[in-house]
Amino acid sequence: MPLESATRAVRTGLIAFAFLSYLILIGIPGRIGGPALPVLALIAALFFWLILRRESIGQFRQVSGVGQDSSEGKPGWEIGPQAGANGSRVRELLPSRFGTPLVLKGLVSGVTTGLLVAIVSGIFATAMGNGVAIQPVLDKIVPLNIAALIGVSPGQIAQSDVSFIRFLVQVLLFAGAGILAALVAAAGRNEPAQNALTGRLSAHLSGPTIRSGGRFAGIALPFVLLVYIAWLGLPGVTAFGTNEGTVRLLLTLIATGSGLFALRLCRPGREKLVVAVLLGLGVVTMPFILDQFQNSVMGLVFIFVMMGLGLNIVVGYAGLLDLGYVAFFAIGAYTYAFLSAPFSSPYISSLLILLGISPESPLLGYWMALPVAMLTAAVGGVLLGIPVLRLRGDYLAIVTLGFGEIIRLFMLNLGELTNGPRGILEISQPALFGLTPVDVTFGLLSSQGWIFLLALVSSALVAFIANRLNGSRLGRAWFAMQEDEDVAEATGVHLVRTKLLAFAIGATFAGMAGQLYAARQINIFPENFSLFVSIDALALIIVGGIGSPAGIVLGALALKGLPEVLRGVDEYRIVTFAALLVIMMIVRPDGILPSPRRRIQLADPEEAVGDSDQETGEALADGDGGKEEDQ
Amino acid sequence: MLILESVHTYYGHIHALKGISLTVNEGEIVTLIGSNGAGKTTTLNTISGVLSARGGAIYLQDSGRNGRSRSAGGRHDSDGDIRLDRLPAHEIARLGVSQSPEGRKIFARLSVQENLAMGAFARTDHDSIRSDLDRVLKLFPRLQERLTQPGGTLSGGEQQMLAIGRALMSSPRILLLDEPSMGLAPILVQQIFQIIREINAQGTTILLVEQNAQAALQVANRGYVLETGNIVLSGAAQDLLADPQVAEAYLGI
Repeated sequence: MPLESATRAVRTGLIAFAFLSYLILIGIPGRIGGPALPVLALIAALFFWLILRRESIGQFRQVSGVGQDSSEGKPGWEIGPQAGANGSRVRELLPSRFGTPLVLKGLVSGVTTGLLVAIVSGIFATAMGNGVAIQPVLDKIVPLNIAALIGVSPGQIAQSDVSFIRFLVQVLLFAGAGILAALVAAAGRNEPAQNALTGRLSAHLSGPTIRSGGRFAGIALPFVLLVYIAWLGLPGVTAFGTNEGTVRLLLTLIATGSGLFALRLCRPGREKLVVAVLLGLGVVTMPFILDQFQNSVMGLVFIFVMMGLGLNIVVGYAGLLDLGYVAFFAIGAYTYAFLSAPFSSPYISSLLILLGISPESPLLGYWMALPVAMLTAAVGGVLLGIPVLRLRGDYLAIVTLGFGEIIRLFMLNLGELTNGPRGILEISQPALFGLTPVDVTFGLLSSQGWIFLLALVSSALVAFIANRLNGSRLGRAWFAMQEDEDVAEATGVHLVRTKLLAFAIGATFAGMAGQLYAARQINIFPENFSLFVSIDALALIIVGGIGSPAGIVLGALALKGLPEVLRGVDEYRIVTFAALLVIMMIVRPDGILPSPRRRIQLADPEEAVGDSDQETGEALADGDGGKEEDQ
Repeated sequence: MLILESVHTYYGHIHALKGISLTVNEGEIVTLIGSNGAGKTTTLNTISGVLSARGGAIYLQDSGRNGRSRSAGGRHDSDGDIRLDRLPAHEIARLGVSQSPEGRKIFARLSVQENLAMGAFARTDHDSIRSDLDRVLKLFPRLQERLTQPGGTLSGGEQQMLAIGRALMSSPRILLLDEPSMGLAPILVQQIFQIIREINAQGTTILLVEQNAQAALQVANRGYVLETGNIVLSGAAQDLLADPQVAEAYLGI
């Protein structure tokens, strides 16, 4: 094994250990309990895989001399029937030039990490076994944590628990993680040989049966998860002993996300249609089987999906960076609140009494108020749009940022109208033909479940509209304007109208979301509409992949759902979340599921052809499954 | 068909066009040549409305074709010409003045097909859009092969073809071509100029801005020589080619 490869492998191991140390320091092993060690090993394996996969791509490009020629659209390293001659040349070249098998690299990395974990946990365990108190210094290094790490039952660590065998197990586990990562990385290459050993194994792993089997498993996964979630909801059933509410929430998030991937795994045509319908049915059953807590989180997630889809029109399609998007959310929420809550403001109440309307009963129901809220928000969008028409880039961002704050300050200070910081209370719940579904379904649908259901239906509607807009004449005008305003105008695009339409349509969706949010919260206060709502909405479309509706759903699941799951990690929640975001942006800078348009812009051609596509390909086990959905 | 009367354009305080007057007649190829910073691109941008003139006037003869004149809503002068210098760029585009900008500026993230569709953005006559698309694709067979490919992934020459194709998709009465040969290999330059001839032969009036003065004068009927915002010389293209002053300054002979 050449020295260079060895150092690189060791370095990978060190980085993995640094990352794991962080998890250990914030007390993750103690929380997971029994299966902590395998879970950590799996996390390490994931990390190794990310590194090894990249290395094997690099190797392959170098050898076959493709990948540089990016103007030829076909990714050259896909050595299949179309490049047989090239492929055989590669196979001859590989063993001599790349003598270090991936497996060996994985093994070295794994052993490095394993040794470090063993040594460090060994030191702590020995100290604790001898009664040294470490906790006062490092508050998360509790015996529980270390016990989980060395695989003894929770509790105090005795001197006898510290044994060589336990540490050997640790090292072997991580070594196994390294080998596993190498095998998966080699299999994912979808080409014959890295070297003798992995070559043969990966040939088995990537054979047509396994691959189609993987595809099938991918499609089945959301349904299996859904059944499991339903089963967990039965009385008396628990998952892993504790905290099953959070576990179920996590599973729900995963099931929803995997549903999106499943859709991309389908072959276009009838298969896709059938799976889409089944997934739709599956997701609609969710509000019925989840409890109040999970439903309320999922409701929020899908309210933010609507926000994301709306903001995506402004930012992703029209390219206008809007940091004050919360304004329209607030306008929608307050409009509904005005129309449906009893007025606590004396002025408005006396005015209403003068007009012969009882201030105690809501003026309009949810559905009647919906167009009003949407229209008000759209007007707000146009009002914001007009002064910023001539602004671009940073200036636009700052002005919109101000607008978001202005609306919040209005709500806060116009006490006569909005009740100021005391907020508007007792906003009425959406009903269907005068009945609340909670009553109709005899409690099967909780009040939050009903909100979740509404959020689902509304975001499906919004997603449909957004998708149609993307391919429309107006959509093209937005993209053209985003790329070059002058040229777009010179081809006949009316810039003022096009920009205002983007602001208005985006605001309309935010207004819808705001109304539903008000119904969900029942009581709303100005501080519900701080700058952070805008930032969340923007972050979720960036994480998910700007311009891609499926990506936005994933972004909302990750940004609004995951923090609730991580609540167990108490004060480290936000830090952990930030770390996840940073990793995300390194691994997939253009979002989890980037839109095809975006991918072209962000990645340089070689990356776009090689890396990004291949990543999607691996995540989905099928390279081009996702293309048509976003277009 | 297009008349500029002592047009002045400024970039802030910088006086870029100092009273340009020129005429382009129906069916002609007219070229504007000059060195860097002479104001060639500024002239085209002023005509297309991307920049606005601070003095002078730009007229487009009203052909009444396609009922386009109606969209200009009573902005005719006594001769029935439309004054362009008071109109916003998108309305000028609707009147049949189409620009293929310097540096191509195709929409990199839109597919070739969508780029071409953007060219026809202002039009609603779907049948003739389709026939114009066929015509453009016949002119540039390379684009046919790459219809679904994003514009940004095309080579430089293909992007230039796309830029010209996009401009043609508006079915222009007058085509403003800005440096179509910039950054292209000599063989591609020849090809592009061949295509410019073809477009003109099919009946489109062309105003061509070029650094490559020799090639431009060879395809053009008439030419104007621009120097620091002024027109210093004008005449038939053949005469300009033969002019010793032009030869020394721009043809590098």
